[in-house]
Amino acid sequence: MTVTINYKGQIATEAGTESEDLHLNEPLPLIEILQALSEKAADAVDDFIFDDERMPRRSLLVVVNDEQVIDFQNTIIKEDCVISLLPPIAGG
Amino acid sequence: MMLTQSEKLTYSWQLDVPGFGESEQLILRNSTAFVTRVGGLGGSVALSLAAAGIGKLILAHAGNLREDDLNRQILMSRDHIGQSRVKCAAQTLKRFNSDIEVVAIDENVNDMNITKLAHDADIIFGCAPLFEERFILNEIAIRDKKKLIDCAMYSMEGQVMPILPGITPCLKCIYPEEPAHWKRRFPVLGAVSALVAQVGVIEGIKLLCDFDNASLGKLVRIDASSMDVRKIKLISKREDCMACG
Repeated sequence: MTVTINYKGQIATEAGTESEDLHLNEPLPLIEILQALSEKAADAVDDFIFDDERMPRRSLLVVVNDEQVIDFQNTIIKEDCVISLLPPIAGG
Repeated sequence: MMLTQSEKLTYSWQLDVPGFGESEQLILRNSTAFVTRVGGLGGSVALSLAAAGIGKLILAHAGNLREDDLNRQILMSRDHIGQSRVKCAAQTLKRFNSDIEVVAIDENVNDMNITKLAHDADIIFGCAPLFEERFILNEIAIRDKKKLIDCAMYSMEGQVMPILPGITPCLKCIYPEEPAHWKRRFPVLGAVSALVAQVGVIEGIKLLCDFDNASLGKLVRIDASSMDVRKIKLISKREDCMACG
């Protein structure tokens, strides 16, 4: 299956891209996808996703197919989808 | 109370919008909106609310106009540099629509002044560049059961979140922690600020006038690069939310 990752806001700036595709051979919990993204990303991107204790940052909006998800352990990605990572923005 | 003949003429084109009639226009006329601040986003919000016929605007924004504000702060012009931003904004708005009342407060929102500033507001538009201010607006909206439209942008992106206390998730439900990476300086194309502002005003008018379907429980995301507008379904209110739980 193909999972498209959309980077938004400051994460896109740090990642240097707005989108990438991941190819998965089996269903995976969302947390493992986030961990896999972090491992291959630059430190600055990793820092947007995980805090110093390696917990997902609670103010990062993680959106799967236009629906916010907060339970990363029990959300299983098992088919093609779009995962968007939206860091908080407050520009006025 | 009825619309005057002058008001019927001024607003005649929007009174033709299906579902938006004289009763909705009267609601607008009798409403007070608190807008903080009056920069790229808030200035456009205030201008469109004035055009639509809001009865009273309360504007809060500290400081004097700088040259590097001018790419986005459309209520001010070069000859205002060095003058109070919010007073310039109020003058522009009064020239634009002399029927509305405009109150200009040369302060930013803080814990000490928020109760007074928001007291008369029926709706609050959060357009501040700092989360600290936005969270204060969120708390007062919950405490005093006021409608809140949180508008935000970054570079070519923006988002609008209508908040109806007790019904929708609040700002702390989606941002339970202080955002670690947000910086006061951010990239701004003024047109993107204005675009996001218009979405905010539309959502605000829907909420105020119970007109059309407000995007309750949704985050409206605008991507000006791809010209994509999406509505993200947010979680329900967090039971452990520090603000509304």
